[in-house]
Amino acid sequence: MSSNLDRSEQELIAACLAGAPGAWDQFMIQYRRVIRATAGRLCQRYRDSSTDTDDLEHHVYQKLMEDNHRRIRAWQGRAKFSTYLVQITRNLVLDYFALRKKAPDVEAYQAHLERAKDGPKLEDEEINDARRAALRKALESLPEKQALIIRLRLEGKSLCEIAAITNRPLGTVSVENSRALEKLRARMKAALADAEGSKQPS
Amino acid sequence: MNCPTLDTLIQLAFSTRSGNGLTMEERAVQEHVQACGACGNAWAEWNGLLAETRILLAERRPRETCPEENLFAEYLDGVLSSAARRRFERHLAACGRCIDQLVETYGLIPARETAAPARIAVQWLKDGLKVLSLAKDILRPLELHPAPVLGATSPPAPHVAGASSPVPSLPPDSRLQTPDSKTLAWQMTQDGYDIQLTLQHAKAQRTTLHLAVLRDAAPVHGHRVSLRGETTLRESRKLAPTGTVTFAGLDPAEYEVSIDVPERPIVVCLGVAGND
Repeated sequence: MSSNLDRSEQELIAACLAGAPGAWDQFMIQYRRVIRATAGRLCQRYRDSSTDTDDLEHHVYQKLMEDNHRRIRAWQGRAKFSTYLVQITRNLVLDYFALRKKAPDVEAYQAHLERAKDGPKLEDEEINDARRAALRKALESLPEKQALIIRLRLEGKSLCEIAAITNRPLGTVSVENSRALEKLRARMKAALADAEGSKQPS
Repeated sequence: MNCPTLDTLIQLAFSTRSGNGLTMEERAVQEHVQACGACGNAWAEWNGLLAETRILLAERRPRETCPEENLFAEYLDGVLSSAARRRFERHLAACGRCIDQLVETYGLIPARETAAPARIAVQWLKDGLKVLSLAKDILRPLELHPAPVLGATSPPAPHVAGASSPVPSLPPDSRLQTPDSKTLAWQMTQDGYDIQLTLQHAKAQRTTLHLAVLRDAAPVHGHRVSLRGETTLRESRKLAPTGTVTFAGLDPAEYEVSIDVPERPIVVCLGVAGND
């Protein structure tokens, strides 16, 4: 299999780690834009206007230099360094937000659902709970390829985007999507019939 | 419009979660759903269910069990083995933290530097293809030889029109040279790669695009080739071990073909006009 390895990227990282003169300057020229753009877009996404992009950039560099450049040394060289750097930067920025109590919204939703679980339930809510549980169970039982497609669709990704993210032809993604939906519908129908059945007086 | 099937309503519930807008067909279904009480209820039920399920599935597994950053980068760059890819996808489908990371970082990876794209525009004729415009400084026409006859010796390699010596290239795919279609081919070079493009006017009023990529006269394989329509990705495939890839069934439209080699993507813009 051919590799996407970019020789010049690998040489530059090796030179940086060996402390070659001018290597870090070249690193800054080549990757500063990636770090700043990633940090800036994450600030927008999490609506954090109070954090300065310069502060975030400084935080990312500080962490990249930590422990004798541990995070840079961990790059295994099979993917492009810029793709790896985006992953590292994203995680460092989210850690920074978390330290400042800027956790993503989804955790608040989860807490809300946890609270709702303890409250009193009406019959319809019980059916909805049964249906939600059935859908979740059905999703978990799908083959990994189909489960991932449905999962990405729940994240709002189109079939074209899923084809690009998962490196699969669009035709394959469409077929797997249809198969997965068919299985989900069958499971849902059965679960709903069970829930309705248990509601009937004996 | 008659009431759509439950399948169509569920598809619509998924599509409205995407920020990419709806197709014309989906917009027609949406209009019906807004006007029809029964369909509106069914759609709202699935839409709500999907939203709640997404939150329930956002459950985060213990961080120690999550893959590290190299694996995400290798997955997005398409260099994982099929076994590693399956293991990674199994984890992704069940872990809220990792699906967030994948979706988020996919959108953050910067676009790479590109060279000026090669441009070709062709039009369908009754019996073949006519070139409307061509970036002549980038693309050189290739003369194609007749399709080989079974039992005969192999045809010679194609020649660049006007060139004194043969260019290093793969012989055109013989499947493309059928008596009832017309085939056109060009050669281009970028960053040390030799690319051969072949367009075939197919029987069913559609066009087939065939690409062959060489470096130092050897086939280049494994790199991703994406065919995009005007706004969305249409297909993405990898170069086969023979250094070739084929996209069939192209309707009249504007396309962009991108060959993702490490140096910088090789981009070809292709316009196909119908038979007026």
